[in-house]
Amino acid sequence: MRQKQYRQTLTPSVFYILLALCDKERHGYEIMKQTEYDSDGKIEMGPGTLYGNIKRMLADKQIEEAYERPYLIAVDERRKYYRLTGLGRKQLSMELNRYNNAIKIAKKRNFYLAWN
Amino acid sequence: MEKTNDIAIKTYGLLLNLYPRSYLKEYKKLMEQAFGDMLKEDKHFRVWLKVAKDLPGSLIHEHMENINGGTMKRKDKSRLVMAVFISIVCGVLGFFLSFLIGEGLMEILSDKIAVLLMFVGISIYNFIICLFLERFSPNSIWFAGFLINIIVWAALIGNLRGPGGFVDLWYGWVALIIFAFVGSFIGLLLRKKSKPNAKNN
Repeated sequence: MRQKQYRQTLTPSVFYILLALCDKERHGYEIMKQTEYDSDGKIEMGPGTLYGNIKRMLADKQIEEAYERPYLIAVDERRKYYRLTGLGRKQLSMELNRYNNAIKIAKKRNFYLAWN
Repeated sequence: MEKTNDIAIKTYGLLLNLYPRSYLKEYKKLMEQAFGDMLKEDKHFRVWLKVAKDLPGSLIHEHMENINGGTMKRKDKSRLVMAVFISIVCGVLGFFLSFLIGEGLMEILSDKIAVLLMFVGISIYNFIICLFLERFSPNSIWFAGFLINIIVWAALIGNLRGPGGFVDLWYGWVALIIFAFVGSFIGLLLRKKSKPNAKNN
């Protein structure tokens, strides 16, 4: 099951949520803003889509709730912060590698420049 | 501005009641919080537009997952089955009622696709109303479901008496939307009534 999960490609929403959490832990609205920014506005998530994805990602152990937040100065206690797990980090790296390889192939075939 | 935001958050909270109970228990507060943050940083119109795009898809997704994923409790399942059953029964009853009383329906009956669309539309509407009722007052779902549907069908029949069929009449659809809101408010009133019981339970 876990092996199968590794091989699966990520949906755009899941990919951008993982990407948003790769440098620091964030709460829901921060994730929403970051995904929108990272995707140049192409991925616009509302609260329903965001928390639906978060629920599934928590169940799949791609992310986890960050209970202790020592280095954050102003923390809103009502909010829940999320961070990547080892599995989530690994899946994100694999996906990025896949994209990287695809770009290399496209460059080799002179498609990348024409498309860019 | 604060007051407008509060009203918007309350309205959004009301809409959130359409999600599965188990999902709401975990995420309702967080979703309202995120919605509040959105209102602070963006124009209301744009926020609602985002919600309108977001809500239908995630609603269907969560309900499907709730049913298929087995996270739904047996009690919830039976209530959902009951809501679906009531929706279909109300749709069928309403349909035949209007067939008997509404003269204008005869025109629509010649167009089978229009009839099908109308029936599907009414059934979906009933289902949404029943979901609301199920949330707010599980005990009065039968009575309220029928009561609201009688009102809706009375309005529909009124529309059918005009020229052309209901499907072609834009004000027929407007009436349906208005009655959806009326249904929601009735749901809210029922919720207030059923609150003391909920506390006792």
